[in-house]
Amino acid sequence: MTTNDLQTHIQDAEQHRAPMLEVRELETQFFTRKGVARVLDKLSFDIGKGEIVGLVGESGSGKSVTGFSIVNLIKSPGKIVAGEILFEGRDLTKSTEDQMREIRGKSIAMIFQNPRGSLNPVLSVGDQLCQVLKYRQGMSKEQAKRRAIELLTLVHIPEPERRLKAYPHQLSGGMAQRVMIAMAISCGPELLIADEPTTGLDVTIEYQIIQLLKEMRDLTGTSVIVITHDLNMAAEVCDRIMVMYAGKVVEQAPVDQFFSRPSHPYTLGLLASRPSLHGSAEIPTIPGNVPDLIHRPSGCSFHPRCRWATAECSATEPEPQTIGPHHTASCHHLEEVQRDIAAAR
Amino acid sequence: MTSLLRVESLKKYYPIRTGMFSHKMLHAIDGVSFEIERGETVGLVGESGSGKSTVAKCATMLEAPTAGAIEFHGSNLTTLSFNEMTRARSALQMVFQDPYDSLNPRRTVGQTVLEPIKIHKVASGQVAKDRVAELFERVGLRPEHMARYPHQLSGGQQQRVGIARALATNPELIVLDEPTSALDVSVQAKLLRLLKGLQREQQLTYLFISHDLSVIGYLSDKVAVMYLGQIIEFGPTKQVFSRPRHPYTMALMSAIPAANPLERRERIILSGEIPSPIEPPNYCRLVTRCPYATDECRSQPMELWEVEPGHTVACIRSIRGEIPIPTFLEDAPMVNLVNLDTGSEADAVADDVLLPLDEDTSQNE
Amino acid sequence: MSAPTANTPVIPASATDAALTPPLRERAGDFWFVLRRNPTAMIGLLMIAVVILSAIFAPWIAPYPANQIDFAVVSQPPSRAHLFGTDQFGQDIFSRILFGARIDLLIALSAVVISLLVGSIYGAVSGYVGGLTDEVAMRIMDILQGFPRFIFAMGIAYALGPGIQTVVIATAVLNIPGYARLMRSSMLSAKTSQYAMAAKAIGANHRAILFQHLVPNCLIPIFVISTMQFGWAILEAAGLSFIGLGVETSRAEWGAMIQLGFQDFLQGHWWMYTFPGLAIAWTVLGFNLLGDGLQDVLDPRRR
Repeated sequence: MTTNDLQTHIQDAEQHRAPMLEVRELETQFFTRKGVARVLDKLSFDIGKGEIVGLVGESGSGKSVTGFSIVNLIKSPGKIVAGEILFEGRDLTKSTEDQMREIRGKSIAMIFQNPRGSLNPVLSVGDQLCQVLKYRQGMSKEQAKRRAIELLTLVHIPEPERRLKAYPHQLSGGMAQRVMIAMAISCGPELLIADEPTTGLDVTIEYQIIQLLKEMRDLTGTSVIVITHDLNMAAEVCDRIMVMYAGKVVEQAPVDQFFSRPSHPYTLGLLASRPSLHGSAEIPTIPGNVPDLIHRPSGCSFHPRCRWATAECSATEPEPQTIGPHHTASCHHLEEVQRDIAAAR
Repeated sequence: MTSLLRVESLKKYYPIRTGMFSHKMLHAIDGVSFEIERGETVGLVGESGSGKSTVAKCATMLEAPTAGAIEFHGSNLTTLSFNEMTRARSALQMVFQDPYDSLNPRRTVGQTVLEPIKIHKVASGQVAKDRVAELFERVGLRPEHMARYPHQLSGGQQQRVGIARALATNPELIVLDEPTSALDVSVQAKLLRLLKGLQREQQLTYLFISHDLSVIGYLSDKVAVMYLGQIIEFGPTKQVFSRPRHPYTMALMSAIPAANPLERRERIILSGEIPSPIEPPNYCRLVTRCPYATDECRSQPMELWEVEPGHTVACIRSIRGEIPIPTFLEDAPMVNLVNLDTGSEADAVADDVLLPLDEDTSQNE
Repeated sequence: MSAPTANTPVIPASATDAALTPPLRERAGDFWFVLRRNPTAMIGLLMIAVVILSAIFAPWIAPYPANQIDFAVVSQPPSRAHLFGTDQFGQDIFSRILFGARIDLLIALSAVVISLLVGSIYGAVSGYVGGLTDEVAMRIMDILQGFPRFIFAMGIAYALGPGIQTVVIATAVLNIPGYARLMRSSMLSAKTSQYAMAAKAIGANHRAILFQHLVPNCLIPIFVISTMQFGWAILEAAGLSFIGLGVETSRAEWGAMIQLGFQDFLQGHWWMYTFPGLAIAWTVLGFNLLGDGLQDVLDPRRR
């Protein structure tokens, strides 16, 4: 275990030396009728090369908005108002729409929750895959078809030649998600953003898709951001987990650290809210609800729901505190929290 | 004990047009039998296409079954007239999957909860209004919420209204069709606690349908596992989940991502996906995906055998002990969080009452 | 209900004073708030307001009575005394347009109300019952729609003889299939919603499910179409009058005025038909803009 740990730490350290995506103090706001919703609030994080990072949060946490902000697909009334997104040394927030289109096609790919809805219903799977290959890679028709078959084989679709002729409605949800992944990796992107890639799929299929994502990373070295509400799923696929709350990363840690030493009160609440398979023990719950992003709580956004909150929490916003290697949490009372966890054991 | 609900050989087929004049039958449920005793919770678990929601609709007679009997309170619901069925409904209620879609968007949620009270003449006038207010408090909402429209409430609050509507006529059995699958985990936790508390207070009986095994594990006493329209394993939840006997149940259990990621477990992996339910074979329907399938499995019709009292399974090889039976023990969390609860249960039921009424539920996400 | 359990909170009487519906003022306020921010709807509303006001206040605004024949000023082009000119009988066209708004709005209103009621009940029942009934009901609508619209209206008008009622009935019948179809398709999707199923689950009967739950949720597209239909009804009514099958030319009605004016087409008396034509165009455009805008405003999910 120790050698393994050491190895991952060394790998992590190397990855951290050269982050391929750096998000710095990103602020995305939505200008609604009721006021300005600060959905992302000075959000900062790094993604290392070849790393699978889970962006975990509940609805309203801003996790999907983060994904769309990276590829500059925030639609009105939303707008990126401040911050930087450094990708291979250039700031994506300052890129033109033409440059972004180029990046979205070649360097950053995205897959979504509803794979069948993301495919064009009137074109066959083969036509759509070949179009991408011809347009992006300048392949001939023959080359594109051969490559398409290769890609479908890569994502474990049985009888790829026959599937090329299939239309999206003839595919099951799991199969369609495999096609989406094939399409996403077809241009060899450096970053893949998977927004709830297994939500709506059955557990047995979910497991297959998770394995496929890992396999693709090992094969191509692509970095992956998995956006999900499901901590268990993130645990299964990710190297590192970032928990988002009200537009901020409140805790981030390598996956083993994350589960062995969760530190932020919100993370604790999330972990505890999952019903246990065998237990009829009561589920602890987080009191209250996600905050109104138009009238954000002062100081730490989580303080109105936190049992450890003090006057300090409502007055000043906590900075990320280092807990272990690559493990930080933004909380004023980390020691008290750890003491109470130890006492509860 | 006598059973409150007894479902016997329930079948529901839908015709699927295959040509101008020809059609085939889609077997949504194909010979499902189970019983629910008063005061207990039976969980119905399965993947999409397993027919679990169709069981919910047929058990409450929202859809007429193709064949089979549904005995509730000793009378067969399939033979009742419309008026008799209407009377029976006051004791047999349902909570739906999509909290927003299950509420009439043009009515305030108070009017929605009032309707069953009026239909079944539970109360009238001011007494009926008081009853609505009381139901709102019981499910953790404030009387002020009554005048709101569904879109003005959060998903969790909408589902609380759905539960209040189901409770309005003092039912004995509530069928819950994936009531928390559209909600966030922290909201789900609150609703599960609410449902458990209500059951204890009012001696309710639940038929709980979900694709989520941990939700079923938390709430139900017995569990029925469905695959392609049939129950393939049935028994006490603890027993079925810790020592599943059917290869499909084993696969479901092992596919759940571990709560403790450092303890990677053995996987029983099913290849492929659920086959089409159109005119399925009458032998075991898992043969196309089962790692243990033999030719024998294709040669005889499917049947449920009892392995232990109250625990039945539909796998001939498992009965004969030809399949290794995995054990799924309590997945000890690395940090004990259960005792870290932030408040008493009463608080948990009512806690989002503390929400400001003007909460904006339409976040841009 | 059974004896309240220990955990059931006792409700103070004041708590139940919380009403089941929000005060009307609040709902109307919401509606107005959204409407005000929709420029399309506001322009449409203003244009229609002009028409409605002129219909109401015609006797006070109009410089001359609608039917004042004055052979001293026959066929005058627009001037200070006669803003829009006069017709062959020396009647002031501006005044007649103001008075004409009354007849035209009345015809459109009656026609829309009749076709809306008949069409939407027909479509609602057809969609709700479904099966063979639905099939037969919709084929009947197909037959009605199979005829070219205007020829069909001419047929009805010819059979009934000219007059205001004729125009109302012909225009109404013409629009019934549209409403029926729209209602039916809304009904088909509303029927599968979970709230319809929930209504069935609590024991509501078919009439309650259909008219209390489903129909109110299908009315939005119907209202939007009705607003637009209002404009088209005016156009169709005017068309019938223009070809002489509708309102008599002696009455101040826009279609009839155009017909009258058109008789002098060769003399170049353009003002006789142009101004009533503009009045029709103005009104049709106003209703269409309002209908477009309402589509956004009336959707409760977009508020």
